[in-house]
Amino acid sequence: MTHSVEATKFLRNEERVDWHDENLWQARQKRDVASKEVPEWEELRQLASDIKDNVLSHLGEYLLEFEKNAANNGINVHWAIDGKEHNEIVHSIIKRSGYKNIVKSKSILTEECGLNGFLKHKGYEVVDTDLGERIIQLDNQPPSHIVMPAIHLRKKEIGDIFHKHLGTEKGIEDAQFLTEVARQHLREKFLQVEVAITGVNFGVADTGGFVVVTNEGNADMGCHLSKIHIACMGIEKLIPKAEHLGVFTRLLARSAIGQLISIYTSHYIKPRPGQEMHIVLVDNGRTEQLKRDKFRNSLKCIRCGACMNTCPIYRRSGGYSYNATVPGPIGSILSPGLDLKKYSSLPFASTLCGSCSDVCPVKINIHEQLYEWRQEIIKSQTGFNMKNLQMSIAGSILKRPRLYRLAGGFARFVMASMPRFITYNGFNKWGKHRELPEAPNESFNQWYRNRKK
Amino acid sequence: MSSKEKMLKTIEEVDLKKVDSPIIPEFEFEHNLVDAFKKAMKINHAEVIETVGEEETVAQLKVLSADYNRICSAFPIKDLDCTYAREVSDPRELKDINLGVIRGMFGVAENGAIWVPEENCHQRVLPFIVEHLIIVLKADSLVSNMNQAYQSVELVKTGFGVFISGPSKTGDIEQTLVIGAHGPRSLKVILEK
Repeated sequence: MTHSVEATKFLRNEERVDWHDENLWQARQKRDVASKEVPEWEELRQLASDIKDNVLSHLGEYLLEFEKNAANNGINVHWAIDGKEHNEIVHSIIKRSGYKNIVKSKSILTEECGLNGFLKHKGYEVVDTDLGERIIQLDNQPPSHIVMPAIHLRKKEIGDIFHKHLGTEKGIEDAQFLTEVARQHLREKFLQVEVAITGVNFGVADTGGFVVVTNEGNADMGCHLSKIHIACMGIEKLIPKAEHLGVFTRLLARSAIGQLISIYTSHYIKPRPGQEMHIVLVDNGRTEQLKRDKFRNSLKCIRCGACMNTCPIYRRSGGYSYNATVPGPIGSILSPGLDLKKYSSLPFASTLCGSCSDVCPVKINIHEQLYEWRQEIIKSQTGFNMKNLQMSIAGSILKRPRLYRLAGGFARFVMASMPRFITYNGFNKWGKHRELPEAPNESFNQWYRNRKK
Repeated sequence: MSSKEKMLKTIEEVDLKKVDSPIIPEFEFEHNLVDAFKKAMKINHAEVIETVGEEETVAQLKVLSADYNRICSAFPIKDLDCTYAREVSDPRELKDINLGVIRGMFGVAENGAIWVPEENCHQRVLPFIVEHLIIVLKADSLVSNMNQAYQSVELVKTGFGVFISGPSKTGDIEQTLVIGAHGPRSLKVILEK
């Protein structure tokens, strides 16, 4: 399904679209306030971007340095070429242990790899512990936003989900109450945990440690009570030195939701005595993206979600319309690299207004890459293309003045005198959601000549 | 060829022009550190209580802990009936603690973050599992921002460390702020001069 088809479904409920739009815009406004409080904000963005340039140009060396230091700290390091291998590694660790109670904090990477489904198939239930993720997990949906996974749901709907799965009374819409129910429900899970799975926000090459940030404290609750901690990390999450965290931690939460810093910025360096710690380094298309000159920069992303909150298309079409693990502008430049055909409509789901690039804390030129992907996609497409046909007809008319005048007269006649379906039909994609201006009675040339008389 | 070799080979073949890591400058901070820290903590929904000297801190701890009956402290507090984290062997034993007390190493004025390495907790889960948390922090330990903060942290010397900047919270239901997600429902910071 293309983005526009999916977006049409979302747009049927106008009241909901307005609510979604305003709700996300709030996050963007909070980001603006928080970013302006830091005088060196722009300098920090440039530094973050430059650090990532350094990382991408030395990725192999940093990965080896990270592996060596992590191993010295007692962490088991695994390498996975794709999502399948990642899932198999995680599964083999769990299977060998014989443990059954698994909790997971938010990780977009494990979503990308489809880990929950894979483990379910093998007979394991993974409990997501981030509140938003737990809500959509209970409802059997994927996240619609990378920072606020259940942002598409209204309080009433969440109340219904809790009523159905957690036995609360029907019709509860109080966020405080619902959060308390989730707290009690998940606390039980934490106290039984044997295996904790987390994502990674930053892997630090010079310490061999990694950083996980949350506001809820769910990652820490799971990890510090677990017997085994498995951290899953995309290879682009690496940074060279601990001092670089000073730059990224100043940018991340302010960009994401306008918070000064996440409540918990946790640095995992060694396992607890008696605990087993693993880290899985995942490629899954990242080295392919590294090869692409025009799109390499997309690997700088720190998953703050600011580009989604600001995007006029995302806000008005919802995360699900993208049909991709990472929705919104950044997802639309990452996904085509994974599967050009499947995600071919995403780079077109943009006004190219550039707002995403303006708010990006690591200065990814997102809107320019969207434009570049459009070129790649059109080039890759074979067979009939309505837009190409229309453009070539328009081109042949526009370069012949006499024909142009004739066509203009014809168009004015059709628009003024013929039934509506002649102009607005399946061939006129442009007119699907837009109205042409009323046709004037005469052309500019005619008007100009008459005026001189 | 192993996946590791394949990944490294692809990376090597890309052969990008090497870019140096940038030098991170010292950023000036024009506010008073204590004032800025208090302001940040207010935004983060944490409460700051100022004391002068250790004696007043202990007195304040006694006042603040009066409402709680299951207290766990990571350091000895004179004449206060509580569990010492050092004596806890299984982290699950902490599940019913309604007040935890720990020391922070230093605080960050710009955002209120407080550095807590595991040595300050004895049990890593302590600052997360307790219902309410108090962090005792020396006022002269404050640094201006995260760039300075990471110069003060020796990550390789610890096994786990966390910056804590407030009580746990969530905005996952329609962006409505709820304090007390999975971790503490409140954070009080005793800022000792």
